[in-house]
Amino acid sequence: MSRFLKQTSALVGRDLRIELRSLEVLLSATLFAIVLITLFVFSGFAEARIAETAAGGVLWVSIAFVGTVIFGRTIQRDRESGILDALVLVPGVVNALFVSRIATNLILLVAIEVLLLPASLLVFAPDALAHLPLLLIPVLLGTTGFCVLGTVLAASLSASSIRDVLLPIVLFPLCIPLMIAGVQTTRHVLASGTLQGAVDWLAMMAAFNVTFAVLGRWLFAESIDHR
Amino acid sequence: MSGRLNRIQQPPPAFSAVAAEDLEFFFGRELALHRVGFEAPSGTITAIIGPNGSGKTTLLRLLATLRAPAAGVVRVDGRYEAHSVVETFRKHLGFVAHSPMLYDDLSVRENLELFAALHGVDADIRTWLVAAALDEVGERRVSALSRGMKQRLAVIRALLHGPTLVLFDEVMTGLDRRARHFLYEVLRWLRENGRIVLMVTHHFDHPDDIVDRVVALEQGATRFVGPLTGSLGDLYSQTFATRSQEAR
Repeated sequence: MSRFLKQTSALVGRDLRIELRSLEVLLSATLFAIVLITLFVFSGFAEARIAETAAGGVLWVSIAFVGTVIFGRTIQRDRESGILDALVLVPGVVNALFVSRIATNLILLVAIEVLLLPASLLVFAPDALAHLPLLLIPVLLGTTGFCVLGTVLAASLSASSIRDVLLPIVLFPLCIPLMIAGVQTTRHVLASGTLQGAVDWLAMMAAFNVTFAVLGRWLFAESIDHR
Repeated sequence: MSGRLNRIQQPPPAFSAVAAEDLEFFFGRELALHRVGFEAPSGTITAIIGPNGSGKTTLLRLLATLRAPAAGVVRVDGRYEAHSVVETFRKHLGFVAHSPMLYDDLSVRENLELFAALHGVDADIRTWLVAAALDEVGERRVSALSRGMKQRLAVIRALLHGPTLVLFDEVMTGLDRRARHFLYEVLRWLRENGRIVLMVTHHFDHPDDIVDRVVALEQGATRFVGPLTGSLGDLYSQTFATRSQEAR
């Protein structure tokens, strides 16, 4: 196994071990997701005439808010006790840190989406539950891009004392194109049960993902390693 | 304790000297280091001393390549510039800060296994734990350790990969007698193994044989560089008393 893969798997293993012991991020983010869905229901989004149209928006807004909670907390674990300095001094670790941090955030967010996605469909579009497998494609694609962007921004803002305020302010405007593509694709799948007609939106999400990953790698390295 | 450390296999030193050459660094517009220069040969322990805010930690972070100097270079073996060969240089670098740089939610053993895996070394964790007298708390979470235990763990975490240059930043602060004794044994063992040790310290009551050379800083500038002939405390008083008189 290459050094990069060994380092990445060691870091992901560390993150998941810490999270499984404390359940700090999973519990708070899940609770946050439940609160959001409940608020949307009581705001009238679950009414029959608009529910299916609103489902996509509800889902992606929930993903955006829950993701922000996750990104902010996971990067902070590396900042505490100066561990980030110790990590940065390990040769070649920056790439592994970049990928492992994205992977951990993705695993945590997907773990919550496993509950969030069927719950949203049950409440807002029960007739479209059969389209759930197809819906996984845009959701995973969008979630990946959102995790890349969120991870990079959380890392670059993590040294700031007002990072918790700054992260959503910077993250949400930048991820709007990705979220619009996600909402449009979700709406299309829920309405038609097919991805045909949403290919352009999927391509746009894929393009965003690649762009975020390439630029993000550079920004991430600059943010954590001041050599 | 040193006998326990001697059971640990260390690779030969990768280089024989590190030198700071006219290092300068700014925090914003404020000059934090001004033309700081000294050399640290292998098999020596250099104490970096000075009042608060004199630039000791900043200097150590430049030497660790955690920051890039505005001017000057960190030269290795009189040839290479550390900041030009960062990945190679860091392979041979160990850094122990005042904060322990450990994951509180992982156990003692898991922290060491993580850093051994990241460095790609097949470290004998058990031997290291025995050497640091931490073998009985190997499965305990770091959050449950005392400051002294954390610092002992932080030291062996930084030494797992056999670094040639080892940097200590105020590691003695807040330590009990046992932890300080361990650190002294580690320092002697590193010197015997030809390592280069640089240690920022506010403590002057170290045993006489610990410090070989001294770099004294004040307001980011070098006040004294050379071998330690008397006690560290006396040198500190003389160096900074002279400065006070000059000011008057």
